[in-house]
Amino acid sequence: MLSNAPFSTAKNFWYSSIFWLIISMIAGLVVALKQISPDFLYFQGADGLNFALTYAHIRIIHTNGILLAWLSMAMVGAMFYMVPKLTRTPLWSERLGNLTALIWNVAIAAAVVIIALGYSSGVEYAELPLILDLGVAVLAVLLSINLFMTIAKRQEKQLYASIWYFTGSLIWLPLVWIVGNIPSALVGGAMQANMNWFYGHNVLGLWFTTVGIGQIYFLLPKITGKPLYSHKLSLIGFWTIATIYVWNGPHHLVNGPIPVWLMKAGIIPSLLLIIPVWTVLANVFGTMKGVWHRVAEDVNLKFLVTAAIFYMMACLQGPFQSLMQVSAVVKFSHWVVGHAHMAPFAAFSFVCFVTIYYAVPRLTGRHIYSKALMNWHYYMSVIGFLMFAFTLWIAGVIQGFAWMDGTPFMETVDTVRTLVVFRAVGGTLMIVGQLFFAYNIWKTVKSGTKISSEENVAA
Amino acid sequence: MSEQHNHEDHIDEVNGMKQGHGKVPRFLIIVYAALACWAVFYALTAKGIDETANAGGNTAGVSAEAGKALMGQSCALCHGQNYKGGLGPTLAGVVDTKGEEYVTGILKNGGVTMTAIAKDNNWTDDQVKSVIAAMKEIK
Repeated sequence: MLSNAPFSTAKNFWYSSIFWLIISMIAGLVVALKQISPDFLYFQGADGLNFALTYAHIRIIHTNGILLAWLSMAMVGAMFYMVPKLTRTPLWSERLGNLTALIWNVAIAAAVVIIALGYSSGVEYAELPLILDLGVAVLAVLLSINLFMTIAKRQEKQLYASIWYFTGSLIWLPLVWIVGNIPSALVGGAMQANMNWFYGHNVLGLWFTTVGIGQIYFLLPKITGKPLYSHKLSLIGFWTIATIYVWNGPHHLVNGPIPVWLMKAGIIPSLLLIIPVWTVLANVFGTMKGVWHRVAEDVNLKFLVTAAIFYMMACLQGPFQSLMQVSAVVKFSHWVVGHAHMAPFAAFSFVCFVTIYYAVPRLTGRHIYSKALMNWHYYMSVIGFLMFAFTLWIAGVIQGFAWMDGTPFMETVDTVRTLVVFRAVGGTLMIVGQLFFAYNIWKTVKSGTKISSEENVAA
Repeated sequence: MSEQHNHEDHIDEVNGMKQGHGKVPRFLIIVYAALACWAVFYALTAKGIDETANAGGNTAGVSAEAGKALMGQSCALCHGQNYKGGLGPTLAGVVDTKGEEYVTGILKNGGVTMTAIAKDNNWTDDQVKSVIAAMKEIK
């Protein structure tokens, strides 16, 4: 039943990730519309349905769907593609890989049902009940075994930067996941919040970011045909992110019920994050030197460079808002939502799009169905995101200062109403872009023109 | 870094990926140093923010500002966003027409339908006076 064909695991992870991308983003749009009109999707008399579709449930489906289903699965697919490619060793077991993909999909489907039925641990980003927490930990172990065995079987001793990032991420993910999801509930109180945010932020920093950078280091030299600018910079970037990032959690609790030294222990590394981020960017821009003109004609490169820029923006905004005075204004406001979308969507989802656009033709032997659709995907995503994010940032600042003034809450809701409408418009553009993406990949796999043997795909 | 100069143009191949040995840009080294200095400075000097006064949490001292914050938390729900009336009556001019003593009594003991809001929230006498001061400012 489970395929043993080379790279079938990567493909299955990607195809399912695109499915979950669409589902999770629609859930996001539903939440955005419910903020405009709380009666949206309310059906008179259908209490059970209304319970399942309540704001709190759909929001959790959106966040967990995007993070655990779309982004994680797309990234796992990328590792299942890039690790065998780089080590020039076939994957240890495609069967185990496909089994992992199957269990992953079943677990996500179960999560959607369980959340809609109202079972949740009630902790942001760690909502899944214990049984599914354990399931995710098992999945992380299964995919780690497969990839580590592949790396262990390699012929060439030295490892390229992408593999360090992947290996690091695979070691960090189970640690971060287990600390934040499993024992934290037993601790309770402010310490639980601290443990939860250890997970909540590090799942971004030591999983999405590091797998994302590993992909950038693979894709950039492949697409531009230029050598990676500096080996030393990739060393500095890797070891600084490994040492600094893990401290970031407490900046979510700044001005909250934790000791000031702990706040500072979260804020200082948040600013020091600029070190690994700018180091990676220096490597990206150094590699791009002399090939910038290619950005105009190559959609993949456009996505990749835009992702790098948004990564930089996210990691300037993040340190800024971790400061006590700034956090006092923007905390709990729409601002945070705008910020929280920048790295997962505009930086690392973009990187995953490039990986999929790059690899699918090479694995299926078919050209991407439509370059025009790729361009539409790019522009809709970027314009949609900018509209989405800027409206939320403006709304957040207005809200934050109004709350400080003691303006009654409902008045602040009224003030930002128009901005929240425009957020949903931006969000709609983002989703339409992803529909182009899904359709384009679907058509490529089904009926893309075959790449003839004398053509060079590497271009 | 000068001893590595001859390595800089050298390109080697790892796992089929070409990688160069470009040097760390000077600009980046300055950024590293600046951030390190800031980190030490911040670790030694930064203090937490105490916002209890702005949030109406100061239990001593009378100010319309503190009163406004307390009103936002406790009055707006019934008396309307601008305190011009909602479930309860308008608060504009109420201190002038009814007198300070009467309003203080309502706050402390409740009215016909209103709860004893000052007692429920454990407001001190100063906090009650702050709320009265804030009410006088409602136009």
